[in-house]
Amino acid sequence: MFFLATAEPTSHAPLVHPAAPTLFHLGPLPITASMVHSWVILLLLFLVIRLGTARLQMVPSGLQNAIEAAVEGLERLTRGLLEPKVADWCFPLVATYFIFIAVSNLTGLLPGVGTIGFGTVKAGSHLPYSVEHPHISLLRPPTSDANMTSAMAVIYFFVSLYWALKYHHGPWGLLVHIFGVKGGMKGWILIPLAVLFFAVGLMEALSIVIRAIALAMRLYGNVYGGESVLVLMTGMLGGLAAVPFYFFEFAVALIQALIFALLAIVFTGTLCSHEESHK
Amino acid sequence: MGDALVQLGIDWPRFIAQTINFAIVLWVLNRFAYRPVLRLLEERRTRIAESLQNAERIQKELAAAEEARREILHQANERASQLIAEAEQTAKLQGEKLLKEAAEESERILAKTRARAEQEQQESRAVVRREVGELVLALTAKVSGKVLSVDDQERLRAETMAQLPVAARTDLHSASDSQRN
Repeated sequence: MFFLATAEPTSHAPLVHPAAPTLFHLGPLPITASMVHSWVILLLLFLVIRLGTARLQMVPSGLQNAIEAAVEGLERLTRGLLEPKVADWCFPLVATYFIFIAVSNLTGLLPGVGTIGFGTVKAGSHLPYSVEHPHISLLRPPTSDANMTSAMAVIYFFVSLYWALKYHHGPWGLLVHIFGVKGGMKGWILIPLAVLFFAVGLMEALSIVIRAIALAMRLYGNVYGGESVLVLMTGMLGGLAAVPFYFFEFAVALIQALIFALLAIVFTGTLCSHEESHK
Repeated sequence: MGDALVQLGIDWPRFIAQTINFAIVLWVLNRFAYRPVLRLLEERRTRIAESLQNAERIQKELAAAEEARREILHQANERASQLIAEAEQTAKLQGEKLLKEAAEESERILAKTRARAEQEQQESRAVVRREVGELVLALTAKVSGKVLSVDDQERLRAETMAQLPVAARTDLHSASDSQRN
């Protein structure tokens, strides 16, 4: 027996709109809640980093310790999976993915984020300015905005392509890496193998493109879905039903950051490696 | 596809804005966090490696210094023992030499004293003999009642000398010689 999930158009509006709400326009540019949240994260990260690294000490303490631990941990993660020179190229981007996604997801769980904004006035509430779920929230985690996740994925796509070209000394080297016959075979067997590896190469090329889309949509889907669940559960049992989901989303926030960073490292590893290094 | 993008709120202005936002975050983190922290970590690794090398070198130097100290102490002990032995030997020789010299000196003093005593004894005897001779002459002159001539005196002296023992005669002669002189 097969169970098929089908999507049907419904008249019910989603609890959390898939698109980040627009707060105002700056000329032709719409400023969304996720952009404002991005700036808040940027400011927060900048302040924390400046506080922790303004006066670096040889014997670390306090905030410097935490920053060093994070940077060193991410560096080791990158170096453990990639060749040293590729790790050097890859580390800043991968570390930024992890830090930005983790901070974005965790700040998204803070009270007020997504719940303070403009919406329909809640009738009969004894609290002033009380609204039903805000249709336009002032802050929204950038990772629950498909524009940001797509931006990160597209940046990764082009940067990883640049690394691959650099690693394989140009387009020809990259094409050989993707479509070339591997295994060191010689003789007539090369002819069928070349056809086979060409087909494999086509799939590989397709997967390189799909990887970026998958990275973006996986992160967006997880965070957006988690946010929707939290909003739904907040309305049940006076909000108590959301408590276990908050713990769950706390873990998801860090796991998604780690998955994005790890997949970026692994995909880079498949692009920037020689056949010999797999042996 | 287009509808899906619209549904998700993806459009070029927002996409480009978020790309720029992320790029700024990347630049800030790379400029203010990764570079200084990685540089510090590298410097710390280098320092720790240097410290370990230094500690190892110091340990070796300490062991060498300890070995040298022991060697020097051993040599000093040997030298001290040698010096003590030499000093003892020298003191022994010196003592023997001094004892020998003292014995010789005492012998010499004893011999000199004996000679002096002998001489004094002889001189005393000579004096006694001369006085005896003078007494004999005086007695003879008184008994005979005449003045003795020089020849008589010489003869009497010779006779007295002949009657005296040999030693007394020698003393008398020497006494007479000394008197004459």
